[in-house]
Amino acid sequence: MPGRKVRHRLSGAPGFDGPTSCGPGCPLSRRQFLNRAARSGVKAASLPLALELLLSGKPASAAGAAPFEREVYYYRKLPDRKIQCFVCPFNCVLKPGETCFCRSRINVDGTLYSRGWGKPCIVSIDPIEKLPFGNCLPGEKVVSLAVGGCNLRCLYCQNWEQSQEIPDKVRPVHDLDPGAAVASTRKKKIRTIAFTYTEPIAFYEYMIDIAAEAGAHGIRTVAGTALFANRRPVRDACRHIDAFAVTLKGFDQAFYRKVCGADLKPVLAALEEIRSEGRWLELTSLIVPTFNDDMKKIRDMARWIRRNLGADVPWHFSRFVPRYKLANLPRTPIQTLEDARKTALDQGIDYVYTSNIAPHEGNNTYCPRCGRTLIERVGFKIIKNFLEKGRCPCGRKIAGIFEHEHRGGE
Amino acid sequence: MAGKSPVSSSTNTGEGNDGPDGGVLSGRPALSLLPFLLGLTTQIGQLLILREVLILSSGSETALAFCFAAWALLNGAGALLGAAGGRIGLPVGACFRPLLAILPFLLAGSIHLARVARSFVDVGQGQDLPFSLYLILLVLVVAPVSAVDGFLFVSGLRFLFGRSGGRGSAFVYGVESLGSLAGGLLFSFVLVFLLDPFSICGLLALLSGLFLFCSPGDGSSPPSRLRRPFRILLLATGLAGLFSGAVLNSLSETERWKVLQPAMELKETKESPYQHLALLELDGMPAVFANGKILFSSLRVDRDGEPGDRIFPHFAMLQHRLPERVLCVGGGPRGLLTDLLAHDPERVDWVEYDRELLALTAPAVVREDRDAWDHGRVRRHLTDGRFFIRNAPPRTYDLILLDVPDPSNANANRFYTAEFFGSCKRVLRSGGVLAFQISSQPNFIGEEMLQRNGSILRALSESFPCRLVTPGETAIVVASGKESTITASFEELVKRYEERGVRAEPFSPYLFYGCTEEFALEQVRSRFQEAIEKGGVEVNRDDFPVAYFKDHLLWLRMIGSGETPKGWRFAGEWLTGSRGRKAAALWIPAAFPLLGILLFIAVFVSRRRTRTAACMIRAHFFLTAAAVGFGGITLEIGLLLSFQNVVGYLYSQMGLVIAAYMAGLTLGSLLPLERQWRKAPFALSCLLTALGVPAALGLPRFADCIGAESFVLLTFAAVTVLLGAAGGLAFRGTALALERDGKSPGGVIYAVDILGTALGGLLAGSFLIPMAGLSSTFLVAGGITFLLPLISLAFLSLVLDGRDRLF
Repeated sequence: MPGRKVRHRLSGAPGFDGPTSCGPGCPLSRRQFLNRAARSGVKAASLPLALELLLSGKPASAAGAAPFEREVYYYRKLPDRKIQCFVCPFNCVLKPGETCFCRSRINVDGTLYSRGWGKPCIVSIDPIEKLPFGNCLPGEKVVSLAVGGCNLRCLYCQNWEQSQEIPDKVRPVHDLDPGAAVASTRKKKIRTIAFTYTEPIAFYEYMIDIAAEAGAHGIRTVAGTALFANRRPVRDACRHIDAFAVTLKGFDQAFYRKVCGADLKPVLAALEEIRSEGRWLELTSLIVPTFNDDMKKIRDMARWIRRNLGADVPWHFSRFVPRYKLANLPRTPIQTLEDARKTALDQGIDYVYTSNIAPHEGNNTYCPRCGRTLIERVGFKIIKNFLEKGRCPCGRKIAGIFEHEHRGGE
Repeated sequence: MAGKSPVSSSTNTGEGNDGPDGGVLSGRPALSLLPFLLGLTTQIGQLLILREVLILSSGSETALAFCFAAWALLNGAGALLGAAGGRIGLPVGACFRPLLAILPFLLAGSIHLARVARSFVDVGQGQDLPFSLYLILLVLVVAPVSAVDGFLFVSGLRFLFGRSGGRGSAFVYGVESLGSLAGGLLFSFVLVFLLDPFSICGLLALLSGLFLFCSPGDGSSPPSRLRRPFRILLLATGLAGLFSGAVLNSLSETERWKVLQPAMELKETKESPYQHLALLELDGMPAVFANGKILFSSLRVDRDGEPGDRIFPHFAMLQHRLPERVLCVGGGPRGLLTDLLAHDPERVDWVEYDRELLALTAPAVVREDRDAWDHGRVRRHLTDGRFFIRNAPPRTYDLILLDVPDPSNANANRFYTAEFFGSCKRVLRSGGVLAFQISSQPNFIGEEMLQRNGSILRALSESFPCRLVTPGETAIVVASGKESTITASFEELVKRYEERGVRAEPFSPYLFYGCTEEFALEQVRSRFQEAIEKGGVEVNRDDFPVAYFKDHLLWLRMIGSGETPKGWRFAGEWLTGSRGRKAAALWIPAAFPLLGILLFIAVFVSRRRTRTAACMIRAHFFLTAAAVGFGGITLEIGLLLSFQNVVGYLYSQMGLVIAAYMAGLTLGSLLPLERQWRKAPFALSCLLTALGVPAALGLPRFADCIGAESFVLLTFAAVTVLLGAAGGLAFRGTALALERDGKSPGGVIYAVDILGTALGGLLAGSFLIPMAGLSSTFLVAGGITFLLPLISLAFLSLVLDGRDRLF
């Protein structure tokens, strides 16, 4: 049945049923007992409705299933018309009619299709700083595109209304194939397309098709992503995408699993892949109070970044604001953000920003050599830019993309 | 009915005996005080638990409805347990006094349990409880006191009256209800202002000790050697509880916040007439919680800390060419006044509803903002914002700035209704601007949020032709009349800011950039316009709080997003009528009169004295009992919310409404009526409903006219007594009608009434009131409590037809 979700190996992640470590015969803890009792209660309450569900016909998710246009790039066919998706580390195995964990790919009779291809739910014009990018095309306006669905389950998701929904159930702005997306961008005289708001890995096929089309017309593409993806799709995406703003959510496997429903290691591997492919990379870490605000972890993270990605990878510390399922937490204290920034700078990271708080000295870009303010910002707004062809007046070349180079095509 | 369900005066609760036949009451009238004590203790206990449950559910009033339902069911279960125990020969009556003595301790335990209940479930810090877990915890918290209360009723009956319980049940019920009434009044007008919950428990234990100490023995058994020391111990514990309650409460509060926010340090808690307040700190950053939900964090630890938060007051002030007279509702602790004063207004009227909130936050607010509270041009008004605006002279202000929470509960929703916006328009001068904030989405606005915010915008459009909504996670909404100067042009705003010479560093007008992007502004505008033009968005009104309901749906979707079982999701859609389905919740109440009419027609067309007809007649009267329970609780919850709409607060005064309803119920059900007057209770019930429902509908308008708060309270209490009496009379009539050979199936009537009460409790707060509105709910519930007794009258006229026997 379309819309059914698949169990996968991350049984302890949020949104998953079942015990985390208890085998047969293992006594239940009080918590587990209550948890199971609650779930059983919910299921029992659902039983009488099942009849009505059958009488009323197919569930909404199946009834409105659109004809899917785009076959997924990375999957293999298995016996009995099953398939295995390889876009992200969940590697979902799907029976016919089943949908991947990201809700974005569906097995239709043994072929894996993208559900949201050509159906963006967000089409917007934003400053590139919003992704956030600090050293990539400062002040540039971008056309932002997003499609519903996500392969993570972050408890603080800002865009949960789209990301935690099946793409073809989120009302699209309008149908927009890659050609139309690029033409529309050119018509607005904008030179960059951003895949952001939701998770581009969930609409990978659409992103790659647009990026390929955009590249042919001299339009850059950038992606804001959590990068929970397999290495090969990431490597191939680097052929088309110019810059990545990656949210490295923490440096702790337990945090990744408990709060985001994912794994840390594949993200780190994918980050190395982007760096080795030579694409521009910036990192963002949302500091959630009491969850990932341990300065020791931030120091470890800074060391890893410096060692594996390089000191010139800009790092943004973003302020948490209560939302979605973490609506009852306070905002991140500004002192914590400042401590995190200082920790990263002390560990030798060259460009460290604070975002979601403005005006703040952490909004600006500074020269790592002379400390001069190079780009002065208030939030997303650039007030002054002292860069000269990507260099500080002291002569130091500043890492990043500072000029909109022509990329071929027209 | 309201938590404490009525039991038929003719309930026959058991055949066994725990004392001498005829009970222990004869010759010992002092013992009649024991049921009074039971009523007093359980009523105060219910109110204390209701307040704790409100915090467990992060302040949602829907919790009250579920709590009533759970209380009714568990109360019934306790009573049935008592009756069953009596039947198999257990000494149920003997348990009465010991159980009554430990009830206050059980209550204290329940209060603490409610505070730490979250630790039993695997819900992370900062997250709301999933609905299913909430229900389980609710039962855990409510069960001890409500079930023991039910058990004690039966136990008390046996203790006092032994085998001759028929008439005695009426007496016990009456005295217990009087105790409930006294408890409700004592709590609402005295205890809530003087004592913390644990001290109240101590006081109740002390009272129990005194009652038991003074009450004579039952004469059924030789005095136990342990009795005296036990009573002395009880007295001593009560005294200790009363005087150490504050310490216990503080320890319990600390435990609560260790569970809710383990990483934060609890600085202080306060009980205000409106809410439970707590000030916590995280790495030196204060955060204020109201009823367990975060109200705001970071009270500007330093002046450079929160400039982003300051967009709202500056954006609002720049919408008017020359804002001389400004009204600011809320926002003081968040530093809004400092920013308003930076624009040099002539006068700022600042309305804060909660004195305790100011006392709690004052030490945490940065000095500059604290000074603004007492600035020469600021006039502070400690009253409800709505009440203030309603009574303000017309055309007084250039700008009204509202800093109130999202309409996530009925109380907050009062600031987003068409009626309220109408009041705002009245007090605004020509060209005046109204501004407020509401949570939104930067680009994509989902269906539930679109409906919620759309209903508010539609309400706004009834009074303000010019409106502007900014894009962002928190949308700023500004509205004005035809002489509007409102703008979202970044350049214009910067120009006005600079021309006015505002000095508010480190705030910068460049921060307006984020909320004035043209493309996003246009998207937000067209999305709302499209939704409103399509006609799918209702207007948010006082008696039709659709925004509150949509906020609830948004919350349910958020909590359930992702992995909600299909059946659960389908149930929600089925009940609420989303995704094109008809709302089933609205049709459930109609089943009562429809079934009644069908049964009447069936009896009318059949031969009237057959066994089948007798069954149908009996079924009808049981249906009436359920309908009375359903209608009663629905009317009571409606009255509670209506009270909140009119008076502005509920937290401290909910006991008044509940006690008034109990008083009415007691009056109605204890009316001394004999079998030959079987029609009278139904006729009287119809009459009182016919008077009470229009009165309840007219209360808000009436309150608008009279203004004096004490008179409003009195009027509310009077109408509530009237409606309670109507329910009690219908219940009494049902018991009389079903009486056969001097016996009434009281236990079954009680159970059916409780089922109706539970169903009403579940439906009223969650679906009926938000979906159909208060007025319609009053009409529906009133219709049920009017129609069913009316059909019963018809039944009695049809079947009795000069005979004495109904069956």
